[in-house]
Amino acid sequence: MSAPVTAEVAAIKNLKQIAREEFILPGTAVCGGCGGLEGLRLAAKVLGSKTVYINAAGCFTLLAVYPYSPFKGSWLYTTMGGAAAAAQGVRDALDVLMARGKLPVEDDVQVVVVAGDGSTYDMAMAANSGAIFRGLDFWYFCYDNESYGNTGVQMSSATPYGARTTTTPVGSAARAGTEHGKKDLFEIWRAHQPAYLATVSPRYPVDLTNKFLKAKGLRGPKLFIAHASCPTGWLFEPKRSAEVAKLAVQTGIFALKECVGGAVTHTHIPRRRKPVEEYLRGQGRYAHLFEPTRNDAALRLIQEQVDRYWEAAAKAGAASS
Amino acid sequence: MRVRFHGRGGQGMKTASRILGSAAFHAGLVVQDSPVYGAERRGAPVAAFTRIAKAAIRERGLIAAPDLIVVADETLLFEPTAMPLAGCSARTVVLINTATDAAALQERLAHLGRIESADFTSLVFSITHTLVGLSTALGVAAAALVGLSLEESLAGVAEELAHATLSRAAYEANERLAQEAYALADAWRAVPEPLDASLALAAEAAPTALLAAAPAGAPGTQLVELRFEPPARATPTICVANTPERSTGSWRQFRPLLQRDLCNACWTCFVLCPEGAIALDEHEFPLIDYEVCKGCLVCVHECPTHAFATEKEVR
Ligand SMILES: Cc1ncc(C[n+]2csc(CCOP(=O)(O)OP(=O)(O)O)c2C)c(N)n1
Ligand code: SF4
Ligand code: SF4
Ligand code: SF4
Ligand SMILES: [Mg+2]
Repeated sequence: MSAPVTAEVAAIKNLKQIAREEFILPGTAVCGGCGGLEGLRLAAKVLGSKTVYINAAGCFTLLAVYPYSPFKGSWLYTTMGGAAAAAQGVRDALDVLMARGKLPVEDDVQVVVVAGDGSTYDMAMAANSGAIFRGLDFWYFCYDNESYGNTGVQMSSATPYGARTTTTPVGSAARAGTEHGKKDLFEIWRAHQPAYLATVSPRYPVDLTNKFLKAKGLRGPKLFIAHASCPTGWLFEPKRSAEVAKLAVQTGIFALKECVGGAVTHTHIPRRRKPVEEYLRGQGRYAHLFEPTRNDAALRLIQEQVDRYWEAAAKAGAASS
Repeated sequence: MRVRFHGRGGQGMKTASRILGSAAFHAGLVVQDSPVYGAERRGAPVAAFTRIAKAAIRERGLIAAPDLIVVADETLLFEPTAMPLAGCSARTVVLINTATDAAALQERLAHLGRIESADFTSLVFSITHTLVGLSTALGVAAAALVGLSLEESLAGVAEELAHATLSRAAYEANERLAQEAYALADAWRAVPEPLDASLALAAEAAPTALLAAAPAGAPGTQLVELRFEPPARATPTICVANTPERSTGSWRQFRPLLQRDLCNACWTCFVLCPEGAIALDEHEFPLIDYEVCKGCLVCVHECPTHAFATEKEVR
């Protein structure tokens, strides 16, 4: 379906190989300590300035509030459900311009969808499925803050079990807050056989950079689910943003992985996983699991789910090697 | 009675306005409260409004001519995008959370009316050991100033805190804080009733008055020049990479300060600053751009050698 365009891209090994130039500049109106912005900023360091960002409505609407834009590349605003369709239109237009000699082919302009989880997991499911199915040559950066953040933190299908949102408040009937489990978008997208698929964390910048570098060599849908630690929606102090993102990986709640040609590889396996409580405790959205009384049943459920995930991953890894 | 609260996103002024509203509601009064914030986030200026009357309130929208103004953060006093004193008259009482005394402020602010001030931040910190609770302190102080009783004020706090998940200890600390804040504010003279106590007047000054008074040329007020583009282009070239002109440095409550001798130029803070507000100098030491640094303090928290000190911003 999609063919590699370059063979090898050298992976980086440490922080000091990350580009010094910024491609998304400061001064935006998003919250201080926004983990989603950190992820996108790092991604942009690989994507460069020859980019058209297609932004579905969400928190990142605030990045480019007229007449300001932080992007060195171009920016187009779309509906929550329509970003991938817009990406198709922009990609086609760029291709036509190149065919007519009006845009230098060597500019190699990239089309990048930036969308939240409410958009990606809920409203744009069908449009995204279509674009991936058609093998559209584009990037998709879903910053997953696990709620409809921009409108005041409502539950989305990416909100994890146990988290309190404004539409899943804690009550005597729903002691855990959100009672649904998080939708497994990675597996849904994997079934579409995209050229590249990965999860990234803002606190693992080398891993993130390498995944974007690797995808750069591939044509077709290049899809990223970025864990987006969100001080405002998850209720923790902004300075802890990177720490919270790190705890998500260390507890095994957020798995760093990629998928090329159908096979899933975990790019960072937390050997001695911290108890999930260490991640949950510091966030106000989970405070009701600890206060005024401990909800042991809910905590056990969350821990067991993580343990099961990694057991299955270990089995799959053993089977494939 | 019209009360306007000014703070920054995350400081709890929306909650303070609700605490005052709930307290007045418990006193059997008619109440209206609502917050307003722009397309900006935690750290950016926000305002909230509470109207209190004995009969149905017909007035709607922003409060342009308040009887009481509560300023949660003194750094907002001279912030052109906040203008907390807009619409003041000599009748307006201004309550400021600051360690500076009221007389000194009176001079700087050129406000003809009464100014009351106290260091609520330290009070909150001494009782709750965090800054969470400023909403309780200022909501209750406002309640005392408009003449509500301690019982009514505590009922307002209880009503609003029921929505938060607090431990028993945190809840009790908040109650203690409310009592102390009430005692502090109760010593001040009450805010005089407005001339139109029924708040029946629908026609208030245009709400834009809140922002209109910013002096031309003040930081954050410069206009962006747009080039002419032919109308046939669906999307004109808008300015690219120009957000640094917005100076989000004014959002900062704490300033990260590099102590160079402790820094080993590891790049961690540069890589992890979500804003991209840190550059590296020729020796690869971090250089923070204070014009745009929002003061999230991720850099301080993540630095492996603890090379940053933090300092409270005073403006
Ligand atoms: C069809 C539609 N419904 C509702 C809205 C209002 N709206 C704007 S942003 C937003 C939240 C988007 O959530 P998400 O995609 O997760 O992004 P986040 O705000 O969390 O960054 C909503 C509901 C909209 N723009 N379009
Ligand atoms: S609400 Fe969360 S995701 Fe949205 S801008 Fe703020 S920190 Fe970022
Ligand atoms: S993280 Fe600390 S040690 Fe590393 S460059 Fe920044 S200030 Fe220096
Ligand atoms: S406090 Fe540090 S991490 Fe946060 S914006 Fe400022 S320089 Fe960046
Ligand atoms: Mg979201």
